[in-house]
Amino acid sequence: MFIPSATTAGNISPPSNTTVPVDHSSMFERLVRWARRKSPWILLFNSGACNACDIEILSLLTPRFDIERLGVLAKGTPRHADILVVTGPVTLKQAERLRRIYDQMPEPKYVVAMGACGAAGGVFEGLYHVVGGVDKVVPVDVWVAGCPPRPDEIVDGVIKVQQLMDEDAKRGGREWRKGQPVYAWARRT
Amino acid sequence: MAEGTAGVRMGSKDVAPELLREISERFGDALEDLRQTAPRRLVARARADRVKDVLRTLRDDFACRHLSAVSGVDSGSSLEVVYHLAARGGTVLSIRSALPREAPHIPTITGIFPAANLYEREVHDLLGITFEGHPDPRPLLLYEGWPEGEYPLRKDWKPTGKEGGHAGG
Amino acid sequence: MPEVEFPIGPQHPALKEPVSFRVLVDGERIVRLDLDISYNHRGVEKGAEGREFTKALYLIERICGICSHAHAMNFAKGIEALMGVEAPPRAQYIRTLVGELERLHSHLLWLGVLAHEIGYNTMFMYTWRDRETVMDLLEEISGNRVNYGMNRLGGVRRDISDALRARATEGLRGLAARALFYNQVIREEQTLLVRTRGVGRLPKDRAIALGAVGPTARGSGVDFDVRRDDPYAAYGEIPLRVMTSEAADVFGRVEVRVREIEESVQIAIHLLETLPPGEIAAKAPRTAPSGEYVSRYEAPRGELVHYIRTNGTDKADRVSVRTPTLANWLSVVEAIQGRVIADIPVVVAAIDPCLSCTSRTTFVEAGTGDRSAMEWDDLVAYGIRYYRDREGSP
Repeated sequence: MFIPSATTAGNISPPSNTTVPVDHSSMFERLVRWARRKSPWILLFNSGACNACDIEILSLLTPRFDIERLGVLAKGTPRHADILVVTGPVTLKQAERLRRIYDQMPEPKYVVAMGACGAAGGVFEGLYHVVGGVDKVVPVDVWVAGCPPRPDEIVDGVIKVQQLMDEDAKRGGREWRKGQPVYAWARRT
Repeated sequence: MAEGTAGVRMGSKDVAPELLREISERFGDALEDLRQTAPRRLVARARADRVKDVLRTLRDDFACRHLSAVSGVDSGSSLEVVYHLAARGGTVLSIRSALPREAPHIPTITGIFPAANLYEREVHDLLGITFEGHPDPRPLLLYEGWPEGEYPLRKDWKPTGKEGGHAGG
Repeated sequence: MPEVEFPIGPQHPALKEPVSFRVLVDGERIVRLDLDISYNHRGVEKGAEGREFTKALYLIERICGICSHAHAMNFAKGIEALMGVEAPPRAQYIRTLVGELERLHSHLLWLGVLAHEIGYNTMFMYTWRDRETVMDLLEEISGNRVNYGMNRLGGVRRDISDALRARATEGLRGLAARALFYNQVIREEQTLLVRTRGVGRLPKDRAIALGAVGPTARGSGVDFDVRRDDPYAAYGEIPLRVMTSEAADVFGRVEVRVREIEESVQIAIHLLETLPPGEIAAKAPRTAPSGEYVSRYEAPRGELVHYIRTNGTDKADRVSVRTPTLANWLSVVEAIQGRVIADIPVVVAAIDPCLSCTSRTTFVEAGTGDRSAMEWDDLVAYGIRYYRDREGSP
């Protein structure tokens, strides 16, 4: 039986064709970055999902997977959230709400799109009440594959976001990711 | 280890043939084309103006107290409402009523089966059939931005592009 | 008239699909509850018309991730009935087994969520830990923890080895003891009793008239279970006890599900022990002759109906789905009337909605029309405080 572990995630390193900038951030800035990385606050948004992803996320709170040991907490309001985790293919009903929630989150903010639905609508792609894919409504930083993804794969996704947060902070934002192939910064060393 | 499992779906005796006879005797031509289509499955047709009486009688005299579902179907030539009643012995009796496409309306049965409330709203959303006298005829499934008059489960329905929801990313 | 609109925000991950409520209140008392369930509408029925049966099967399976096997199996057996194909006995038993394991995981999930809604977090952790035993079994049997994909037209996709049968039986025996423990807890734990006894009354004749199904109906003494009344798969020939309660309130619904946990464990063990030998699938043709069929299934939440019409092609002409939760909403609306706002989370949770309440609940004050909004999390917390204040005085 597969035992989940946080250390299954690889390290993120920048693609070889960018130069690593010198880190000029102050002590305070480094502290904030460390705190945010150590304890990201997650906002969950169900955009019309079948629930499979949602209950696997819920499993993360329970003793077997226990995401709180990673410092991750689920919060109810967008104004305090670092990471928005979206399940579902985005129904027409939820599209505007999803956009609104995203706009209310302060920077720096990150979006994780869950599962096949989050990527491109999953089995629901093309249906008349569905937008089909989270990145049609808000920018996505990390996609976690699966239908649904296993809890440990979700943990992996969250850890990748934490590493991304770090890399972005070192480089003063997310600009460095523009134009990079998606996998370049998610590759394991 | 079970030996020679003879037909996994034994279980309750099929009373549908007996029920069919009783119903046929009682309703005569109020129920047309009454027949058995499968174990524990009966189907029939009823005219729109007779549906209420038929359903009431089935509820009161044939112990059909549970309305399992109400389905809307576009059969091409007409728009149909199909009422699925749970009858005794695990039998399901499905009664369909065909309505003209240009004027698909039929009286509500919520006075006889309160359960029909949400089911009729759904059929209206998807097929545009009007249930006269429904106590609360609001949309159930389609969101507030859905254009009126667009009934997606009709066979001739095509997306108009006005259904919306494609906010930029 | 002041109107306060709160932004919609998702809350605690006790999430399933979103729904929002509009509650008309008179002071503390609820006059009327209104629901908006359009959040999760995707258009699956239309999608099924445009896809060959096998693809439609994968789509329909995902109508609900918690009772995915119920949908998939109900559709598969419906198409098989129209095709005149019968799945072989071993396949029927495996299908039934997965169905009962699904009932188990679903009821344990629900029990944990209910416990969470009343502030009883230890119970939430216990039940979800026990649920992992079932998830492991489902994963070993099907290859996935959720959305198992076990059904194919004509039977099942994977077989169960004898070694797995033995392991599964052992795991289930452990669960049997836990089920007895939960049965005891619900009868002795004060917090639970205060929040459930006498709350959300639903007399038997009203339950029937409103179309209630599953534990919601059986909790009001309605003796209706599709597995016994309209048997399918292995149910015609295995022992089955249908659980009902005369309590006719939230406690009745709780009691029925907890006893069903016990019973499902026993059924699953029996199925594993008496699994017939043979093939796991019959050959199904590509097309189905013209016809119509009502396929029924006892999902964890109650009677699930797929009304299917075929037209001689490889795609269904119509698939009309009536989920058990749709059948149970009217009962919530009725059961909550006259109760206090603090009871909303529990009365809603008692039908085990395959819709959960991540969106806002809007309260409208009868008479003045004043509106205010509350997030679900706040409503749950409010409910917990309300009853603690009442319990608390020495």
